[in-house]
Amino acid sequence: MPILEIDHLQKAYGDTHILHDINIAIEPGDFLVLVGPSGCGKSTLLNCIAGLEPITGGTIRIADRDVTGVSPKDRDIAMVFQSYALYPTMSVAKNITFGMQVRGVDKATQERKLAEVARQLQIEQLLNRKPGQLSGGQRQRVAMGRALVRDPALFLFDEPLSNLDAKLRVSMRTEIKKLHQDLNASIVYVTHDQIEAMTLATKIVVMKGGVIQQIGTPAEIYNKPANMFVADFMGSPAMNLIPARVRAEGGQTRIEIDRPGDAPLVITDPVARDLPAEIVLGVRPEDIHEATGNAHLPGTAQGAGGDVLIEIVEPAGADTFAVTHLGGKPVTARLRAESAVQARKPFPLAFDLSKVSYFSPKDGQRLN
Amino acid sequence: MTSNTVLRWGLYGILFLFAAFYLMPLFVMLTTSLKSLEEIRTGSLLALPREITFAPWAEAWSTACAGTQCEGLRPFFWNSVLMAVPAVAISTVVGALNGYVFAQWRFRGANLFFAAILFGCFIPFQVVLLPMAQMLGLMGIAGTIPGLIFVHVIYGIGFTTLFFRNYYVTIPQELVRAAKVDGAGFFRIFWSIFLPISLPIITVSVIWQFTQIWNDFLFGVSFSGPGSQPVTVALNNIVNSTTGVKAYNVDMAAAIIAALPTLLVYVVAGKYFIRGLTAGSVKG
Repeated sequence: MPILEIDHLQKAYGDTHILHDINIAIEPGDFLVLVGPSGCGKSTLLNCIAGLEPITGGTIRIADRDVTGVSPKDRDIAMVFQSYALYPTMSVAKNITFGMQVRGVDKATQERKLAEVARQLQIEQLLNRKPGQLSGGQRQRVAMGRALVRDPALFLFDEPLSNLDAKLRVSMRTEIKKLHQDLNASIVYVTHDQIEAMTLATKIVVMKGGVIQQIGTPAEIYNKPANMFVADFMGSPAMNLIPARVRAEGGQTRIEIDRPGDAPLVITDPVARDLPAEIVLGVRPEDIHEATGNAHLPGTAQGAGGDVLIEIVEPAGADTFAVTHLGGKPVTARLRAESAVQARKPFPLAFDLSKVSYFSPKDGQRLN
Repeated sequence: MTSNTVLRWGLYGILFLFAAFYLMPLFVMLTTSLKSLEEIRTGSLLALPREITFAPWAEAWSTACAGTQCEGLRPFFWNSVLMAVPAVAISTVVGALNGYVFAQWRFRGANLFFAAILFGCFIPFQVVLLPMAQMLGLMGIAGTIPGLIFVHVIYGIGFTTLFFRNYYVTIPQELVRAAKVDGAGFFRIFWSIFLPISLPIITVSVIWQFTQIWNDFLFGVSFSGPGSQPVTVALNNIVNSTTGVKAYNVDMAAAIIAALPTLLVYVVAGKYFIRGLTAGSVKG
């Protein structure tokens, strides 16, 4: 039984369509992340799930109950907001218990649940403070406490970490993940940060322009992006998208890539593929390796690469990034830190063809 | 002495001159109200009283004649209190609710509504006199204190709505959303979340409304009956109905008495007034 089921959801303001035919279902315990660039409709979708925005068409079911026209308070949800939205005149304790107080929960239960949540989030010593006296991270905890104490069917998080500094964001991210594991809670989480999406989610929805681009596990989204937008959006540095030409040759696929100042680079995919003459080759930086003579790296076939002119070398501690130019686009390879690669010199690189994606240059859709 | 300190002293000097110029009428009023008629006639306008007497104050308060009624300002002063206190309270409460709706519960056509209410702030008093008189007659409250309360509430709502709307619009919408998810409704959110942060703007609204209503003369003289005249109208009558020798000292005492409540409100709440007026801009 899905805990959340969105069926053919539409959202429009007058003639402006914000969300187009959204279909999503998640199981209890799932951590669903809605990710996309700003203006893609992910926050609007979350507000629709919460009932804070009316929808134009379709249905929303939470815990097997149709909540399409139900007000937010009766949807059995709790929400954490981007600005935390703590009530400024109330103490931390009051902030956390306000929902229970409104719902007429008795004092003893309120006290017990408050103590429970305060211990869980380690904010016991802050209970008598006002939100104005808290740091960003502490406010974040209180906002989560306000949601946790309700024990709802579904948690909604609207970019909860975007107001924190980089270091705190990473540690809070880990805490949210831990919380999810401990409580086995069902969560819908909105972010524009693809790393947050990858690290937290059990299921990712990538959105653009109010349309779902792909739904899948983090691994599916990362390894088999459904189109060039997803390929480009997920992953850092982004996937290399290289325009190329294709020739079928005796049960193999020959791929030609323009190389500045040299003959085109020809690589051979040993698998016969049904590809159009013009394609875009998608390859992640970590799937471009140093070609080391005869010793083939796993997955690399002979003739899957060649010498290319390296333009820039960026050592990043654990890895070294080498940037070259192929098919008229900058291409980044993630190499070992101790690699001998040098700028303005040719260097042998090989593509791991078992992991590449082929896209149609016309509509950007995945071909393999 | 550096040129900086010279400038500074020059600045203080000019400020002092302006302040003195501005306070001169008050000084004349106070000193005149404490002199006997004899002393006013023989002495200079700016001189301090040789012999302080409170008789003019007593006369202004309880025996001066306004028209044919010789009971001083006292009954009219209470009329003003009975008119101003409910009118200020009602217009502030209605303005707070209006502002809360306009800032946080946007509805279709809200901008048009708000523009219409704002327009109400700019309608001159004189324009509404006749239709308002008719209206009060129809409602059966012409010439009564409730009638005056009604007029002042209607006229004040435009301003109070503007104050509260501009204050509440600085409060993030997510606060209302969070409270909605928490289960609170329209009035609960207003009561538990918005009212507790509204002290500065309530102060602004109360001072503004109280000053307007207490000092109003035109509505008071147009819509009051013999038993419901506010203090401003009575003051006018006292000043105009003296026969023979003009009792300047009584007139001055009466004028100060009529102005005292607004002065008092400023002294008590003025600090919050400045704070409230600038609250929105500081938060930005």
